[in-house]
Formats: sequence, structure tokens, C-alpha cells
Amino acid sequence: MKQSSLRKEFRRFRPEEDHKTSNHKANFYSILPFNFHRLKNGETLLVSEWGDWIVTDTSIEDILDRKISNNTIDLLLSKNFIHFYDHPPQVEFLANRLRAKKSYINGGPKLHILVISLRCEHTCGYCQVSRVSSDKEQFDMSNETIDKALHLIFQLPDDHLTIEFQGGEALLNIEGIKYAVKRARYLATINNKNVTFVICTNLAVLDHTILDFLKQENILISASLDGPANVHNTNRIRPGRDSYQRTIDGINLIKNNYSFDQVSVLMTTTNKSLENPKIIIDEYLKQGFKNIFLRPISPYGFATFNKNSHYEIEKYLDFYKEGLEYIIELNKKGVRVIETYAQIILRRLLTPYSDGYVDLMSPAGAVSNVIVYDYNGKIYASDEARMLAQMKDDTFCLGTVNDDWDKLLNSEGAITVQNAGVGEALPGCSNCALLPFCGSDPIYHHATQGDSVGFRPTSGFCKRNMWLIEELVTRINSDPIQKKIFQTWLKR
Amino acid sequence: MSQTVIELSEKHYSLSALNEAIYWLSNIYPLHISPSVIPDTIILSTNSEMSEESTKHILQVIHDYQLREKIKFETKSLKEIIIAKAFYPDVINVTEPTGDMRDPVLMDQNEAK
Repeated sequence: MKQSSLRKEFRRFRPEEDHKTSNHKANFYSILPFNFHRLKNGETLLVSEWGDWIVTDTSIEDILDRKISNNTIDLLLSKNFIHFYDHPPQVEFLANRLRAKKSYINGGPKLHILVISLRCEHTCGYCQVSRVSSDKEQFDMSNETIDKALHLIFQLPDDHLTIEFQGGEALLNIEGIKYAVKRARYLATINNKNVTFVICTNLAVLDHTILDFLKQENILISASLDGPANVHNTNRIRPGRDSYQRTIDGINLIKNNYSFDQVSVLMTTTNKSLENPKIIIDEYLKQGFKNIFLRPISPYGFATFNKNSHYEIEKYLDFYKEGLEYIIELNKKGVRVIETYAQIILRRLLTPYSDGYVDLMSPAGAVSNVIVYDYNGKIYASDEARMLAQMKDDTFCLGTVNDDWDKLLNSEGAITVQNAGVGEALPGCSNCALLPFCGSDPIYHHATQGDSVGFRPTSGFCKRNMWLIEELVTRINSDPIQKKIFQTWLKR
Repeated sequence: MSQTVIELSEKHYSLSALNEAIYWLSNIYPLHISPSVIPDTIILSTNSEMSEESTKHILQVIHDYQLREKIKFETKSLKEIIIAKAFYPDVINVTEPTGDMRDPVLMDQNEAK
């Protein structure tokens, strides 16, 4: 195949007559790979293999029997659901679309989480990891373990790596962080790579000295803000019951001495949060944040034992829907605020690109996109895998920092993730039209159903994502104003 | 014990489509597949009486999976080529489409002659 002739094909427009459907023998078309999903309003969502979609009231039988109108033919043709016999499908183009959607599987893991310390001065009810009191330095990651972890990280092929420091409370081991950053910068230079640093912190121990270091090294900060004081302090307990105030003080310290762009906050939804999503959203706006991630609680660690952290998925969906509607209303009034999970799905619905959200990938993002290095040198497939280990379940432990990548990636844990992490091969997922916008999560299903493959009809992961994708598709299709709002959420 | 029995023609509904449907419905309706004495017929049964609406729902789901099978059958080869081309672009060569493909800017020197 001559490369030049391929370029000709894409550069040249077909004659005008070719674009008039009436000149084609009506209904002489072949279908391209697609699936369909029945929406609650009676319409049908058609989704192509590479994520193009349309909502139609044309029956699938009529499409397959070639009994559709010329208008429908035009629509299906424009969205790559059909092609005419005398114009073969553009395989190269469609393959490129599919490759773009799955671009996150290129290269190795890009996100490396170092659990720099297990120490924490909070005792949050939903904490997924067992934390120790803040004076136990034996639960800090040693310099030797840091060296070995970084040695593994910089062997990987990706030119752009993200190293995220987590805990416990990461800032309680600021010396470990300083050592790791210095060492990582050196390794990045000699290996010709770019590295981004993120610190996950509750901000309670942040002071000017620490902030100066973060500023000097251009480190991003990820903190927790569960809502106004009564919600935040109920969820996030510390001596003095002043977690909220310390968080706000920390945010203000960053605003005034570093940069507000360098800090982001996340919330976790508990039973307390479910009472009123609007006050949480208002709190975020009050503190100047334009993004809020209305994320459900993860069913791991202490969260499984805490009453405030248990709720049915349907209650969460009601909470989310109320929150999303409120956010859309605010947008309509000119207040720009984005719901992050919706934004992730919208990127998949409204653009041909993928994103780096590891919890919603197929193949699963665990191992392929994220690796966790625990304070004691053990390596896990993801943060959730580490949380499971806190509950004495080492299923997704890949090995230790003393192992090489060959051993780690061929470990039982890695193979379990790979075998149960490809939605295109899983029962329930493989025939689901929403898969191009969704993902698989073998670790979630192992934790909640005792089986990494999972049973989709009762899966909370499935219910949540199917509901949200349907909700967004319906809103985009039925309300041009909401569609426009969603499109603004995708502008960088 | 009351039972609901649905008879389906094997000519119209494949076993794989039925299995997919039963999998998705298993949380709501415990359904069983069994062969029938009538040729080319499959029996779908449940050990409880179901309303007309439930039966209609089950049949719709089965029908949908059968439609998906039909789509898969029609598009299987092309899907495999597209996926292979997506992830092994150098290995899979796609035959150039036939037809008059003139080069308007004369990139191809052979055409220029």
C-alpha cells in the first residue's frame, strides 16, 4: 500500500453527487460494529465500537433489515454506524479512533504512589488504611526503600511520570519526601524524563517551612474537604475536633504564599454527606474551588466497619443526582462549577480522546497505569489493593521493591488483574453498549463480591456507571443548554 | 408449585443469546433453560408465577441479545480487522479502496508523468 495514495484519499473530497443520499440505492449499506442500549425514556442509544453514539427511536430491526429512511441513513453514515457498499469503510480512520480511545494502555504505569508514612494525627471514620499514631517513625518509608522504589520507577518506558506521596499523613514524614524528591529529580535528569510530584495531605500540619519546600519544588497538593465544618468534622476526626479549620487555614496559607492553582481538594461521601449535597457544593464555591468530585466511599479498610460510611448505592445516586442538578443550575446562572466524575464521562462521550482516570479503564488501570509502593517496601496493584491488604487480603500484592519488573508483572496479583480487568472479555461487560465509556475494576469486585471478575447484575460499580452514563446521554440529547454547559467543562 | 414456562424457537434464539439474557436477569428472575420434547424448541422456566409485564420484559431482553448476536455476526470480520489495525498498525495491511483516486497536487510522481 503506497503511503502517498493513502494521503490522497484523506485529502480529497468526493464529488458533490456522492453526498446526496438519493443518488445511492437506498438501504444498500453494510453495518459497522456497534451495540445498543435501551434508555428509560423508550429511545435507544446506539454506540459504535470506538465510542460514537446517537440516540434514536428507529428500531434496531429496521436498521438490520435495511428499512430505514434516508434521513436516518444520513445520520448513521455521518456517525460511522454504516457504510455504503461502493464506499468501503475507512479502516485506517476507524482504527485510529479506537487507538485514541485506548491510548492509556501505551507505555507502562504512569502514576506511582509512594506511601511515605503510615503515621496520621486524624482518625477518619472512612479511612481505608490502618494508620498509626503520629509518633511512630518506624512506620515511615526508609531511605533505602525509597531508593529501591525510585530505581524501579525510572526503569519504566514512559517519559512523563507522576509520583504521588500518600499516607497516613504524608507531611509527617517531610524528610522522607525531601529525600525522595531530590533523588527522583536526579534520576529524571539522567534518564531524560519529566516527573510531576503530588502530595496528598490533610493540611493539618502544613506550615511555612514545609510550604516553602513545596513551592520550591513546584509540588501539587491534593487535600480533603468534605464540606462545611459540621460535615467535615463529623467525617474527619482529630484531637481538638478542628480538622475543618486546619484545612481552611492550610488552603489559605497556600493561596497567600504559593498558588491556588497548585491545590485541589476531594471529598468523600458519607451518610452525613448524603443529607445535603448543596451545602457541600456551596462550601467548595465559598473556598474558591470550581471542581468538586462527588465520589462515593470506597468499600475498603475502616470504612467497612464504620456506620457513617455504609449506605446503599441507590442513596448515593439520589445524592449525586441532586448535586449534579444543583451544579447545572449554578452553571445556568453563570457560576462555573464542574462535577469531576461527570467531566470524566463527558470527555469520553463528547471527544474522541481518553483520559487518565485509572478507576474507569478497560483494561483495568491497576498495574497498567498505577503502582503503589507501601512504606514497608511491598508493592500493590493500586491504592485499593493496598487498602485490601490492610484487611489482611494480599491478593493484589505484586511483590516488593527487591523484585524486578519481570517478577512483579508476572505475579499472581498482576495476572489476576489482567485476567479480570478487560471488560471486552467479561460476562456482562462484553455485550454492554456503554463499555466504551466505562471500565472494569477487578479489585472493587474482589472486595465487594469476593470475585475479581464480578457479577454485573448486582455490582455497585456497574449500577453507578450505567446510571451516570445514561443520565448524561439523556441530558445531552434532550437539552441543548445542558449540552453546551457540559462542553464548556471539557475546555482546558 | 406454580411455574412460568416460556417456549422459544431455537431457529430464532441462540443458546448464547439466551445465556446472556439469563445472566443479566438472574438478579430479578431466576430462570432455567431446559430442552423440550418439541423439536427446535427451548424451554425457559422459573419456579414462580410471573406477571405479563415481567414475561414481556424477559422476552424483550432475550430479543435484544439476539439482535446483538445478529450485529456481531454481520460485523465480526470487520471488527477484528479494525481492532488488529488499531493495535498492530504495522502488521495489518489494508487493501487500498478501488476507484479513481487522482492526486490533485501531484504528490505521486508516477501520476505526474
